[in-house]
Amino acid sequence: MPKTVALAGNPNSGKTTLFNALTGANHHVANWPGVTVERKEGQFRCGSDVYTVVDLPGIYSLGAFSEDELVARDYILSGEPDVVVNVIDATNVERNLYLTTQLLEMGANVVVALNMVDEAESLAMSLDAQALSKRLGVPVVPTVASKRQGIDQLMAAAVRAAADPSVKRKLDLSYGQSVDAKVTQLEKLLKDRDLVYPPRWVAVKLLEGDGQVLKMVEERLTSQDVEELRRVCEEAAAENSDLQLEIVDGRYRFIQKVTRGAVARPKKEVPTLTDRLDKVLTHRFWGLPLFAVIIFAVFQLTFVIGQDLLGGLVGEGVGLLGEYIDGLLARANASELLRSYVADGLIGGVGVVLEFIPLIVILYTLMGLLEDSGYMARAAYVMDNTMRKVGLQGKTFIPLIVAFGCNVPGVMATRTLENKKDRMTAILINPFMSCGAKLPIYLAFIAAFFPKYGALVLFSLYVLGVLVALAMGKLFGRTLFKGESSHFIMELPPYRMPTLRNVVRNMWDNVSSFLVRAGTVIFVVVSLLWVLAVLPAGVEPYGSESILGRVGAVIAPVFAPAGFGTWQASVGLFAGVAAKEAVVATLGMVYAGVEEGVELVSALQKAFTPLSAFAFLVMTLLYTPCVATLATIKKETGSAKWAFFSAGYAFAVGWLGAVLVFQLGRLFGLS
Amino acid sequence: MLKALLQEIRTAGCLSRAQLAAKLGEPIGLIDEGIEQLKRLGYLAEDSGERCTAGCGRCPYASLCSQNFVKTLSLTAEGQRLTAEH
Repeated sequence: MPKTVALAGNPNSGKTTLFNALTGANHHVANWPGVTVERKEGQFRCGSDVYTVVDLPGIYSLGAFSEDELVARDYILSGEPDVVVNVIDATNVERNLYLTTQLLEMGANVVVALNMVDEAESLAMSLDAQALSKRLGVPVVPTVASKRQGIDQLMAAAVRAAADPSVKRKLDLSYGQSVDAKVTQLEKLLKDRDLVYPPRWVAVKLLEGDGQVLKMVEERLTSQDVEELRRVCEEAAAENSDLQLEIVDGRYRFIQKVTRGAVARPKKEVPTLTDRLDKVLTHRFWGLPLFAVIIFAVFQLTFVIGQDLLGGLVGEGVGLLGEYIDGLLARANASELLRSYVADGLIGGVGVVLEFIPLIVILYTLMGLLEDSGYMARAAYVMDNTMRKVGLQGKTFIPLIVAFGCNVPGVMATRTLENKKDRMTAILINPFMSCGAKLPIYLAFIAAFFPKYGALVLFSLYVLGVLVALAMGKLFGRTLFKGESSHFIMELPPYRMPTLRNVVRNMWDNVSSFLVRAGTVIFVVVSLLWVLAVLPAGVEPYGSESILGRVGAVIAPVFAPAGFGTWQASVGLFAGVAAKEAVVATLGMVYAGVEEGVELVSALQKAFTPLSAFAFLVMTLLYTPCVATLATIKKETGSAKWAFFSAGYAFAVGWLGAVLVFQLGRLFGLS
Repeated sequence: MLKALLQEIRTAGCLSRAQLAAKLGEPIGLIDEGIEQLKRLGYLAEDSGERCTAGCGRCPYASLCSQNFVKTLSLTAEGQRLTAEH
């Protein structure tokens, strides 16, 4: 009967490469009995003897957490393999030794293959195989399986170990005084029973709550013995609620002892490009200012390219299209009402939203570059300090970043927050973020009043949204949702060169969604408002006597302290609750209808002052979220109460912000 | 090692695995291993950031949602209890 060598190791430790090097084509593949885990078996020759080699599944430990682990553990414990060659990755010795430790705990006949030593050398690591061997108490042979280096020495050691299993090492780890006492107590109860497995190993596994081992014990011991074992385990768990952690930590202490001085890495590891960039970009003090500068530069570039270079192109196109369609309708003797609907409702309303496409294309292209490079993932990281100061955690900023695209997925992204306090706060402050739908409003007013300071105004609105969100977060933390924020670490992806494909896809996703909304939601809203703007019959269309004018006039006084108490501004804001883009579309329609051929920008210049325009922007930034966001808030909180609360308090915050801007501005002599 | 790792996550706040490894003077592989163990033992919870159940294919807002999810690890109630005790 040929002796059997089992290969055990972590995934990617080079175990299968070693198996192939040993067996060549001389192997076959089947499944382990009863499971779908692959079993590879082959033969190799050492002198005149033939040995069977079994490649066990790649595993990190010998628990009972996966089929792979159970298959490997059961096979080793079955006693079938005469020796277990534990392949460990020399570049990651400490991690791989966890499995080695468990193999030794269970009393397996182990030979260690310290594989990929060439890669470890290239990383300037120093490895002392002899010291490792002495401390582990088993042979440790350096190998490079991919180059067939050290394989003969390894197999010679394996053959020696297989020939004399009596010299195998049995590891009696210490897991700390209290745990050791319980292990000994259980070990005594298990001794001299027909268990097949080492009693100490079974004792440790019982304390770890291993269901498979408990089942085995139940099958082989009397119910009285099992009861006693259970009592000791329950007593141990009651005395130490972190029993399992103590056992795992005992293994790590052993690993640290084994590797101390035997595994050394260069003191100064060569920093990667990501490390060097992160040192600057995520710096504790200037990480946040740098983030602000980068976002400001994005806005500045958006206006330079989108407005200065491309600005007006789509606007002219929309104007020409409007004239062309109007000409067609005139030639077809279409009614005045239809011509008015097309010219003022569709072209003046929906068309005006489309005029900002070049700016939106550039903005989302630049944001896509930041996102694809891996920088945007750092935003939550650099915001952490600030967030903590207001009682929130950096992770809360992740849904807020999502909300810069759209508040709906922003609210949904709060599901990633485990803590109820963080989640409820993040939901309620989410709508203060400047979503993409608010962009056309900002851009229209910037074009009318602040063309030279576009980036600054846009940046100030984004920053104001974040500041108000933080202030409200702090307020909620002190009133509605008290409690401690959870602690976390982030997996920061490495920086990479953005790909054209990803950047264009990101931009197109946003722009196409914008276009779809213009053709659906905004189209419907504008059409409905157009009907209200021309009814009742006989009144001047788009006048203050129309239904729309009368409704607007009722609301208008509310906004008078903020400097925009006109019925047009009021219905614009009212329409914005349906969809934020509808604010601009509605203003475009009501102003285009009054004066033939008038452009929204010049109409706005007549209706607002720079101060009231900025107050209006603050209002649109902060006031009631759109219905889709409110519906999502209801769904995510499971209560309509929070959706109503969000609508009401955001309106109050927006109104207060707008009034403050206007009144303080007037106080300082601005107009 | 595991308690120190958990304590570091709690007190140092927002950190990457690489920074945790540097701070504790352990190789990143061992930190990865320790984190896996802490997750398995219920002291840490991993969040891939993809918990939305709507399914992008059916979600009308999929195109506006973040495409790059940020993975995070948070202390569970058990993790908070253990670190508070030590």
